[in-house]
Amino acid sequence: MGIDLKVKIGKIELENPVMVASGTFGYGREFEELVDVDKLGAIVTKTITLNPRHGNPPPRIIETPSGMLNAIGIQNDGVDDFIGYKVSYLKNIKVPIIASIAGERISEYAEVAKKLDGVDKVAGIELNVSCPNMEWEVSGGKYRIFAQDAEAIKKIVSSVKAVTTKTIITKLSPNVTDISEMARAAVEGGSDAVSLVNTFLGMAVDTKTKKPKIANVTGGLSGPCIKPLALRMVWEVYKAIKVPIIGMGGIANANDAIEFMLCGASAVAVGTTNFVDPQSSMYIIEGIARYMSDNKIKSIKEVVGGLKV
Amino acid sequence: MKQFISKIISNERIAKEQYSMVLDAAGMSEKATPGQFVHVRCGHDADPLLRRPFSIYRVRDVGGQKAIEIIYKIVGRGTALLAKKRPGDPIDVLGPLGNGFNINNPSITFIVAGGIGAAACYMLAEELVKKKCKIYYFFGARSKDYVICEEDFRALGCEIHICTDDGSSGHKKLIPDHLTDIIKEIPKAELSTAEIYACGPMIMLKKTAEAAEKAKIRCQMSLEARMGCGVGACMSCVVKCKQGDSFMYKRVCKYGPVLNASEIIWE
Ligand SMILES: Cc1cc2nc3c(=O)[nH]c(=O)nc-3n(C[C@H](O)[C@H](O)[C@H](O)COP(=O)(O)OP(=O)(O)OC[C@H]3O[C@@H](n4cnc5c(N)ncnc54)[C@H](O)[C@@H]3O)c2cc1C
Ligand SMILES: Cc1cc2nc3c(=O)[nH]c(=O)nc-3n(C[C@H](O)[C@H](O)[C@H](O)COP(=O)(O)O)c2cc1C
Repeated sequence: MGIDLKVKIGKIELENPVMVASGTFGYGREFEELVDVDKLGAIVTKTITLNPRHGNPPPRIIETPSGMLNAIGIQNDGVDDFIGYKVSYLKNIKVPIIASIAGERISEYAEVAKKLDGVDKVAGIELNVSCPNMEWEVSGGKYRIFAQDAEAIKKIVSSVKAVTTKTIITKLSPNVTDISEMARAAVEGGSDAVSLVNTFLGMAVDTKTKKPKIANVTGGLSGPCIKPLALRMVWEVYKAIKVPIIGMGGIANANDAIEFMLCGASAVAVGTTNFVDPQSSMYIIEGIARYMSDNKIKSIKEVVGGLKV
Repeated sequence: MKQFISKIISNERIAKEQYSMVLDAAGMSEKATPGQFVHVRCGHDADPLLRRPFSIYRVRDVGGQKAIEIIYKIVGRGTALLAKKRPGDPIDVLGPLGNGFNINNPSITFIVAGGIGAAACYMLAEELVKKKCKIYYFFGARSKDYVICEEDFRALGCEIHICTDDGSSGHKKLIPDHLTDIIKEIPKAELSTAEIYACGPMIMLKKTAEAAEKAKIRCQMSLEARMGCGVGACMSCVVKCKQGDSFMYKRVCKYGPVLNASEIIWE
């Protein structure tokens, strides 16, 4: 029986639904000796910004039970370096490349997107409105992350939509009261898809020194410990919007990925697990195919949203 | 660099809280160079989650098979799990990783190892012996019970200088201070092509960097930082370095773990 793993996110055709999440796979090259990257559904590159960023002071991570906290602070060399250097390697990769971008001001998203619009190898743009490790100016000297502001999300997406024909994915933060409201705002702005979740804000404390275990004090929690929380959010967003969802949060094996798809994700992304076992995305692709043949499922689309409630 | 499932050949206690583990390295794709490390999974499920980095102490031939030895100290959950492993157990290894020591053509060399930091220095010493360098080996530990690998370095022909915090072995002195005293005894002319290599706790490295700068001797050091991926992707294991008038956070796993002492910004 032929198995159809193909999925479509906006205009992007993926050979299979397994991508790697932004910030956990660098710019592809870092894993070239360890993973057959051409077998992935897509690669989402580390978030880039208009100007280079130093990132946060170390220590930037700490392991927690079945997870980790990070506060990298989007250290990156900026969009011009991405286009000038990183893309030249990415060109050798056969699968779609989705560039994750962020702005320190709302207007920067469109500036970065405009620069990327001319780069053929970039198939889609993921708007990281949700990084919990940076605060953005909203208005009048007030700071908060865009992801907690439906109006800001809508503005960011529509401003990017105006400057690019590439597929737009909005990456949502779980650190909100009602994530489906934020998903709706993204769709209203013109987002072709949404991805969720980014990390959950958290802390860890060294009781001996009474200091936080990461220099930024707070950080984003990721890894298997967040999977139940992320699943619930994907399910909620699935009920609220019609555009495809890319589900992520603690995916470590094929069964985890299938859970996300049953809850409504058209595709999934592997994040922290890339650090633990770089090959895991390969096993997940194989495992999904096995699940389908074992259950006589012809197309992966039949799995999406198949939760029986 | 390669990810492979290795088999544990031996895992033995060598001193207080410290162990030596010999691993089958047939699956390792390339030759390890001095100062490189492996990224090891200590558990097998979600907890503890992340891999742990360990220096490659040495590459050996065990019964005609390539093997690597790591020396580790129990400090937390991951290393405690490692200590429970038995010969024959499988273990998931990623390596060799990172950029090790840059071996120029020094005349006189000083290796400064603090505690388990000795693990990064043996292959370096082997290489320096091949280059016929004079090696002063400084090792510092809390007390006599914590002294490791002394005989290995002695067998290579290093001049051994041990310091302990309580004086129970060698000098009761901090190693960077002892290093400074020994350097003073050496004629200036001989020091022009000398080189210092260091690995150990941050505070020891900082003091060693200061001693090196005062003596105007080039110094390289192997750094430790909490690591995620180990391959340069996640930007976790950074250390603050000079860059022109500004600074840059450099990834220990990728640029390092060995850096020039002069580029590090100590805080
Ligand atoms: C390049 C490099 C080479 C190293 N070589 C050796 C070696 O040869 N022998 C040896 O005994 N140790 C070495 N270390 C330190 C070793 O990685 C830590 O002792 C180990 O990760 C502790 O794990 P744990 O679970 O026992 O401790 P825990 O404290 O429970 O670990 C919690 C988290 O913090 C990280 N962590 C804790 N201490 C350190 C540390 N000192 N450096 C980096 N991460 C740390 C762990 O990896 C883990 O993610 C090296 C570190 C680096 C970066
Ligand atoms: C070290 C690290 C860095 C990350 N950097 C980014 C980033 O730059 N941009 C982004 O959108 N998400 C970033 N993320 C979030 C992941 O893409 C993902 O949304 C999150 O970790 C949840 O998935 P996981 O549990 O599978 O890791 C980062 C996560 C980690 C652990």
